[in-house]
Amino acid sequence: MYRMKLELSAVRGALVRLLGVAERRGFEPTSVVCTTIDATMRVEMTVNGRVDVGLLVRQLLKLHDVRTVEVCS
Amino acid sequence: MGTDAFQEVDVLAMTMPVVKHGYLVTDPAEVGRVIREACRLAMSGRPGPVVVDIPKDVQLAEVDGPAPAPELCDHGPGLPEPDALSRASAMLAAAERPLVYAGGGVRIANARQSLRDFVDRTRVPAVLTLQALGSLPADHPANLGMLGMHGLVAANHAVQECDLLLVVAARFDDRVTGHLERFAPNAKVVHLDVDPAEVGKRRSPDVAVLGELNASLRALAETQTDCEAWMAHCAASKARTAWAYDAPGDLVYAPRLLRDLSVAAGHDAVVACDVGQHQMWVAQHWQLDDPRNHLSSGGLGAMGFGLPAAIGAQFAKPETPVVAVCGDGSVMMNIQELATVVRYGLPLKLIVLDNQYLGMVRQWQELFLERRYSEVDLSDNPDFAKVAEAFGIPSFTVSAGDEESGAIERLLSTPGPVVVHVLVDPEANVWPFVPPGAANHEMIEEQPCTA
Repeated sequence: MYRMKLELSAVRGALVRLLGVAERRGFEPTSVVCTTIDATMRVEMTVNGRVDVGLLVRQLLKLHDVRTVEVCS
Repeated sequence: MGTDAFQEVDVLAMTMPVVKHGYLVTDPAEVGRVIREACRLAMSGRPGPVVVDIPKDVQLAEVDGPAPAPELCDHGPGLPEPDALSRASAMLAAAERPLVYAGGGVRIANARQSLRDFVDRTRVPAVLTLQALGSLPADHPANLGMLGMHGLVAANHAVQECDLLLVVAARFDDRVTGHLERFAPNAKVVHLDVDPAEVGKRRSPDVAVLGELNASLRALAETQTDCEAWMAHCAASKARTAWAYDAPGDLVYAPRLLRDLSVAAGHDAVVACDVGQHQMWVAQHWQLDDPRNHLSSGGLGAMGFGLPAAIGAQFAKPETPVVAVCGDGSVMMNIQELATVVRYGLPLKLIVLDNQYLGMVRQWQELFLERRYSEVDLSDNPDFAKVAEAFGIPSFTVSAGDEESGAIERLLSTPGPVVVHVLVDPEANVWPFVPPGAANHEMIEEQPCTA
């Protein structure tokens, strides 16, 4: 299980894109908390996955809306 | 939106998994900014399609004028890290059997010349993916050809024998690697790429060099290598396993036809293909000198790609010979685009290799499903020559091997568009063939003449 903190541009579709990439790349989101202030969306997400989380981080950073990704644990 | 109005669909959500990015514009004043940003995004970094969904009311709205465009900076990919380059160079210098494995990123990065310079200076042999074909001239002594499922024997054996694999903007696609754990089993890996997500995705490199590809190749070209014996071994293997083009029988032999057509059309010609056996024959036999002259649907494998791609190429290069090579199954997926060819007077040449099957699927069913053929019989195809004539396009049919050279001459000398209907052996297979799940050196090498 990995706990992640992300910062996104608060635009239409950003959260769906994030979740879609996580699932497509073999990770199951088990909790998602999203807070939007002005143009910034902060997401705390927990995912289960059996492959290296670094692969997911690199895929998420390719998304145009994703500004930062941090793996907390 | 959101009321299920006539023809309302969530285009943004529908396209999300298959595009680089998508926008839904709800403020008319934002249209200019979004279009500008979308174009930049589509063409920057690793290119990809970007969708902009503009609802009808936004399209019809009046605005005072475009808002001031924001300053958009695309600095492009960064330069490679010197430390990574040093480590890569040291590994290259120490290798006895180094091998370049070049992918489609060479074309995207406009790195064809840098790759050629690298190979010429270091004398390291190279294998190419489908999307990299043409990055080295087909007859370049270091070019061992395409690797992978339908790769050339010399190329696949070189991969299995090498002790260092220099991955140049390639992605370890499953059609390239075969059994991944047994791909280049004795090799250390140096991976050059612009996209961090590709590094370690399928195989972890010993050294990753991230950054602009031309800079990486130029820096590594300074390496003092010592692999002449290995190069000679690979060259001998290439010569020993070269195509013979001497298939017996009276039928059209598609590999020979395509090889001869490519020579006659010249290096500047653009070839576009669909997906299937004919696509692999083009990859194996068309004499390419530039990856941008080879339009082929690789990873996606989208049947129907060829004719629209050829149309696009002909618009982009109106004076250049453009040839679309399609199978009888694939061409039916977009054959209505012959109307576009006529409407715009495009002089492209369409070759339909007709074996009255979905040939590649039939081949798999023959080899792995005990010839239990299912949904591959296309013996009820339309008469393609008559279809072309219905669109107002001249056409002719080729049905025998001794008609090949005359057909090529007629095809290239006919002004305007032409459709050539070529009848090929329904039982012909594409060789060599690495069975799914096998290692690349376990390829089936049945001779084409016995297919």
